[in-house]
Amino acid sequence: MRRLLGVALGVLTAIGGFVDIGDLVANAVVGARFGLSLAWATLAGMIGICVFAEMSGRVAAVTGRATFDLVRERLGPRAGLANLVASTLVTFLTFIAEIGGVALTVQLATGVSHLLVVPLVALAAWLVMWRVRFSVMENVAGLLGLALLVFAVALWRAGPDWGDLGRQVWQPHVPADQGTGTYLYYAVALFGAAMTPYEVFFFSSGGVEEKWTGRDIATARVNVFLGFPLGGLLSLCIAGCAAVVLLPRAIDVTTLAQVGLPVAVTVGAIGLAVALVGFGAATFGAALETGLSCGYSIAQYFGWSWGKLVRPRQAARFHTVVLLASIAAPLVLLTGVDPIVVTEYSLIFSAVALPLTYFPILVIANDSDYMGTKVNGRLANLLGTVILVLLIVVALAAIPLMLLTGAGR
Amino acid sequence: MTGGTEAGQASSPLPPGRRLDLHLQLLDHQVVDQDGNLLCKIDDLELDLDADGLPVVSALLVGPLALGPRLGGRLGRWWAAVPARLSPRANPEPVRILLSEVIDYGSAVVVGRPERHRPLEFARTLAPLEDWLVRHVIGRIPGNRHESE
Amino acid sequence: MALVAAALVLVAGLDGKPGGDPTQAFLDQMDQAAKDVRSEVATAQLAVEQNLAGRVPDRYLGVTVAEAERTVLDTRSTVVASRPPGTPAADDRRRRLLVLLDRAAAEVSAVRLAGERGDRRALRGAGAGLPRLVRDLSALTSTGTVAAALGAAR
Repeated sequence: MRRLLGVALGVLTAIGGFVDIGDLVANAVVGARFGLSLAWATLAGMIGICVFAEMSGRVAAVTGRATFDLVRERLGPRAGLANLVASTLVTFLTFIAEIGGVALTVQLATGVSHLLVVPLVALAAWLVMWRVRFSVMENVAGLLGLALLVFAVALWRAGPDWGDLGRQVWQPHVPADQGTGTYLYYAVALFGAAMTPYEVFFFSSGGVEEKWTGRDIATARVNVFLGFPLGGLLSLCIAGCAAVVLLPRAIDVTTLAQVGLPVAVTVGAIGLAVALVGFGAATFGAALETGLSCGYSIAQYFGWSWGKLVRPRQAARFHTVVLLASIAAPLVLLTGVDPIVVTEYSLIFSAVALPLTYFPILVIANDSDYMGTKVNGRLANLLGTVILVLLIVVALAAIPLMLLTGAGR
Repeated sequence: MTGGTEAGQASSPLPPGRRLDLHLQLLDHQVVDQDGNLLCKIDDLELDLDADGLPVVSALLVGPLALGPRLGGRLGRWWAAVPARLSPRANPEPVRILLSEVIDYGSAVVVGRPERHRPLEFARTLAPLEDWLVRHVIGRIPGNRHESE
Repeated sequence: MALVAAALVLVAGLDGKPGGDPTQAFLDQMDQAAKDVRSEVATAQLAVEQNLAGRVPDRYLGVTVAEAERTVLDTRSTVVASRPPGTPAADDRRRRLLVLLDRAAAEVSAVRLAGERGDRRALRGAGAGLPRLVRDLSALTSTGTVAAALGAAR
């Protein structure tokens, strides 16, 4: 019974923790412009993160070691360094975006300017990363993040033409008033949002922190294959709400406030309040994950001690990285840059970094020296390879598309 | 790999002449102390020639001065040059772990100097940056002595 | 590097705009500005509607409208500072757009002030002109279909 509760907790946390500021913004922007005709990109990205999260979780459970630790050992210091630099820069950019997202949520709830809130948010995030127990941190943020289910409720209550929505999903095409280049640009952004690099670093480092063994592989799989797809469906609900409420009114999403409006329209003030809780939990949780991931990736490459299970005195370099990130991120935001713009750029650069991030995982998960009998089966390799090829295409197209469409105009 | 000029063999727990595939079992592998704490990675190896003229590993090398040459190119030179410039010593050298200090070889290399130092202090000599940060940064923030458990 | 170049060429073929005609480029720019402001005005309209119906709290309305107002003002500044290529079509579009942008700035500001003062009657009054503003802006964009959709909206 306890085990069942543990599994349920894991699944719920995975659903609530799936969405971050990138998913919120990307799906709302896409829904308001393209309806659900880009749902395939969200779904494909979701399948991708499921496949690779399972792989990195299995690697952590079997080897007791996390991604970057193994990447350098297996691929050498040069390749490992390229992987590290790309992934850490993107993760840091995502960290900035998440802190911005929390600040915007607080602004919507209180009316206080987000710039005033940014330093407090960064301080709060750092304090939690410094002192709060890993499992508490994950569970609280994940469960509160379930508040975003209000978007599913909102979509239901909007009473849309389900047949029409379904057609948009299964027969995707570029809407008449939008360019193909813009359509593809947002497909890239959705991939970047669904498969943001920090997700796998955090998942595998978390597995090591929680001391997973071979017996935990099954639980990790349930979390991944049940929790993540439901989280992906939640992303589609956010897009659907924007499609049903904002698209007919010719409202383009450029602020977090617009993301929440559809919920107010169909569910009312309570719904909007719940949505704000969801925004806050999802972005704050993701801020913790990205902040720690900056530390994890660097510490694991250099072989430093890391994690919350050792005393900070014994992982000084790791904690210094996290501290520096927590100081630098708010400074960037205090320049007045729009957090939504930072988010959109973080998604595109995520997309560029995707092959570098995921290729080593595929390699290590296939290495029987590390994995013993638990190497990738044929299905995992087939899916992994197909997705990796797709990611290479996405990564190559990202910057050209961004330049060509002026970042999605 | 750097060639060492050290004369005299350090004793090692390996049976004499045991061959290790250097890439698979030593380079870039994790170094831990006897309590299992993570210390650093093996960034390079120091080789020496034994009595028959065959190369043997005489020490494990750690730190940016060791890793720089392996990264190669301009990046590698810069990687080693900056810490060298910052070092107080005239001819800075990479941090060396003697084979006598290696207690076990597994997927991670276990080190310790059982007679002279406690594990944590040995860690500090392998990673001066860690030591400096503990004393000047992390050690000054309240709560640094408690795990988050 | 070759792969990036190939990707660039492929993508360049997709959008297919001739891009050489300065009048067309300017009109596209004005078109985008009109759409941006229409989106902000429509957002303000929706937020006011929902606030008056008790579904959006006052603070949320305040933040939403303030952000909309800022975008409207920024877009207006950009259009004011723009240099049309000198053809009658471009000059005419710019002039007509500026008239609407002035109206948008005034009306969205009025909404913001009414919201800040908590004056529901003023808010209702200020919000009443927004739907027509959205329709007028739509007429200046390349997609006239929104007008029909708005007619059917709640």
